[in-house]
Amino acid sequence: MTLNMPEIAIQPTRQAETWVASEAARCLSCYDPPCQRACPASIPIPEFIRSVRTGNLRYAADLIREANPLAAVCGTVCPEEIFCQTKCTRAQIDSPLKIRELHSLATLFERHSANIEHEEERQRVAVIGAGPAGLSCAVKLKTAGVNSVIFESREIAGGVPRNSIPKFRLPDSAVDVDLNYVANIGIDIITDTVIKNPADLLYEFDAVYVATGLPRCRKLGIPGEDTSGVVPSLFFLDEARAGRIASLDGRKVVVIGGGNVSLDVASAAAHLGAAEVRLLYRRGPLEMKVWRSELDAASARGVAIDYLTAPKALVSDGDCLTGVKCVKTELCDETDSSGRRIPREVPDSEFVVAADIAIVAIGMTSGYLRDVTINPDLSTSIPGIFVGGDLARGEGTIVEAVADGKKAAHKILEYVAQVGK
Amino acid sequence: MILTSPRLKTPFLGFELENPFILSASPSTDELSIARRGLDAGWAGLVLKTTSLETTSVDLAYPMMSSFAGEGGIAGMGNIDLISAYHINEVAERVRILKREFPRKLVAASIMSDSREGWQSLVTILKSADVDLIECSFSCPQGSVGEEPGKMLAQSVTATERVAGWVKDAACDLPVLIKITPQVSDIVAIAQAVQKAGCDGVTASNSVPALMGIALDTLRPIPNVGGYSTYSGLTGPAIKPITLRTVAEIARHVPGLVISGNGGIMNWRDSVELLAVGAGNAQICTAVMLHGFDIIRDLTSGLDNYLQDMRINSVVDLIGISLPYIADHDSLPRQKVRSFVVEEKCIGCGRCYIACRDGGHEAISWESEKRRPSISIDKCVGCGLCLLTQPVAGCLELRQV
Repeated sequence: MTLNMPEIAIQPTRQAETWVASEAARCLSCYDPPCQRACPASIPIPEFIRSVRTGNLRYAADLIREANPLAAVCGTVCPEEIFCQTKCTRAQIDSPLKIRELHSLATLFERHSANIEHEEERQRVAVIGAGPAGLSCAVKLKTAGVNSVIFESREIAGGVPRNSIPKFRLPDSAVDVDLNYVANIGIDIITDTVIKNPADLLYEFDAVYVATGLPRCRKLGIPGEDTSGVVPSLFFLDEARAGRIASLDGRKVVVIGGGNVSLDVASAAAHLGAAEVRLLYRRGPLEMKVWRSELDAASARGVAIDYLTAPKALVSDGDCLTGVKCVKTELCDETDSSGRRIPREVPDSEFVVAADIAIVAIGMTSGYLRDVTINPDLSTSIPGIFVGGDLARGEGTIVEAVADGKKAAHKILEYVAQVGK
Repeated sequence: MILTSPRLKTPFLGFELENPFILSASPSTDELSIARRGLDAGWAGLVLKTTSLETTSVDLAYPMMSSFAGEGGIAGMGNIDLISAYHINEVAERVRILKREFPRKLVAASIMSDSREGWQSLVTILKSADVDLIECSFSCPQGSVGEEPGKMLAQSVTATERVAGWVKDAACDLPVLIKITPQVSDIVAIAQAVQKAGCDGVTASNSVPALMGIALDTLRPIPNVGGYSTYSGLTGPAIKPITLRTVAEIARHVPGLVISGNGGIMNWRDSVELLAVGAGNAQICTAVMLHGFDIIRDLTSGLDNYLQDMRINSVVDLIGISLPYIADHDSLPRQKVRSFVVEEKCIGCGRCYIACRDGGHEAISWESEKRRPSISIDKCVGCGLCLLTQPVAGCLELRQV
């Protein structure tokens, strides 16, 4: 017999193998690991790192996948700075482990398992929305032995990660790893299909999980919003990701917002060659709820941020946008419900920021399930209909949506077990 | 995720173990509740901590645990533990309980005594409790009951053969393993004595007698027991190479003797090596004491993935696979090898330069401007020292010339 070691699948970058071994060796394998508790998907972090350390990368990948059906996506974009990494005990010695990078590397070694077969072939649950929450719910149902089908209104499954997050942050290849996993274990996704009324599905299915996210952008409610050149954030991100915006070469872009989505929008605009990208935010830097890493990345791409600046109107030459009329603001001592200081307009401080394109990124809404009451346990006033993801929780992260889907699957399993009796 | 894989099935002395990993006689098997959790976690079996007759006094001293550090964490663990404070009747009862609760797991007991009657009555009591296997500690480095004071039974060929014979006489069909020490001048002679006595195999091998260190602030030896200390039994990574040599020697020279491997197995990689030199399974203690029972999941999945990658059908096919390549120094092939810098991987640290300059053959020169080593093919003899200093895997390699 000849003993040949298998080729290592990953090509080392910056001595990846050596880095991984030494980084994994820094893990203290804490009891009741605080990192794991901080992970919405409850990935068994020290356990997978131990397997990384022993070179058992496939098992590490399996552990991550079992806890997080969107393993590759989260390995690429999960904001570790607000989750696992903030709680790493090692920070008290030197610096926290780079957990997401270890996760991401381990995920490369996954070998997809084949279709999970179950005796009962019938699809008992319908999932509406093939985003992180819906996918996660369907996977958890499947691994518990309950088949489901996912209905997706768009052409391409994957939700925000596949349609909206800029490719330079999250390449298609990462999303496809997770979508292939979903397909491989035998979950059907029917795309291009709008479900107008989820309750109709209850004729065919025992339960319905609605996780349609927040596909509509909030409007500013100021004059000139219908002007050509004023674009909602999601539309811009989706068009940019799909490659339908060839270039913004030479254009002046203004982004109105202040959250992480506005940073994605600004970065994407800069990436597409805009001559100038200005982000207008009505409060100050301390009030900005964004991830440090995204802020740094946007700054590195040349995005300028105008703090204490509120838009008053969108100005045009009759056909096209020419600028955004703004007013300077100052912060009052009083705070709002979010605990942030309230901005107040400074009298006589109006000015115009020149712009060819203005992108509005001030939050998202759903517009779905308006007549249904949502219970705290994510069931609804209609028995058999469950909700989750951003739709129920408001804007959040991918890993939180994954956790929502897992939690919902648990509830739905309880429910279908009762109905099945 | 507990892995069960047909590849991991390990036949051992008539048992079908679900995997080759057994908890060795240790604190991890000294309380029923702890032992039970170990079996629940997925270990294939256990050896209950060494027990003795009701009349034997077990007088422990604390603290009993210590360690010494290598450059990457704990290199070795030392203990001045003794045999179990639980005597034979309690242990026999635990055997009954565990056999009832875990009928498919290997439940073995370890014993130690100082007379023919003692050894044989321990065996008889355990037999009536339906124990699967008896392990005899001939080698506890601390407080061992040897042929003469301060000496372990397994350091004498004649004592080993005599006492092993007593045990096997009482055990009859019940499998018996003798747990031996690596600290002997001729390990093969000891193993042959076990075989001559009719016992089934050896557990190779026990902890290694050691002085764990001196605390530099007090100049007292470690562990500090009220100002004094004694020699410890050394376990953990430091003794793995000793274990591998012990197992390999017995496997090569005492055919037919079953070997349960023990000593320094910390992860699945170590277990591959242990099995490859002829151990029939792997007993583990220190790794569990430091990291908990759940390492069984990495052990089993790691070994299974490895077997799959290497296209080795089962644990059985792995056992002894490397033995044909262990040879005497005289008969090693004489080849010409030289060390080469792998340019694209070199990070310019200069560690290889220092090693060869001061511990090798002055074959490496240093280009200060470029921060690169350069190896003289005429001066390099291919000793391989520089490879030990690699900061990055594969930045140096030996090639035949």
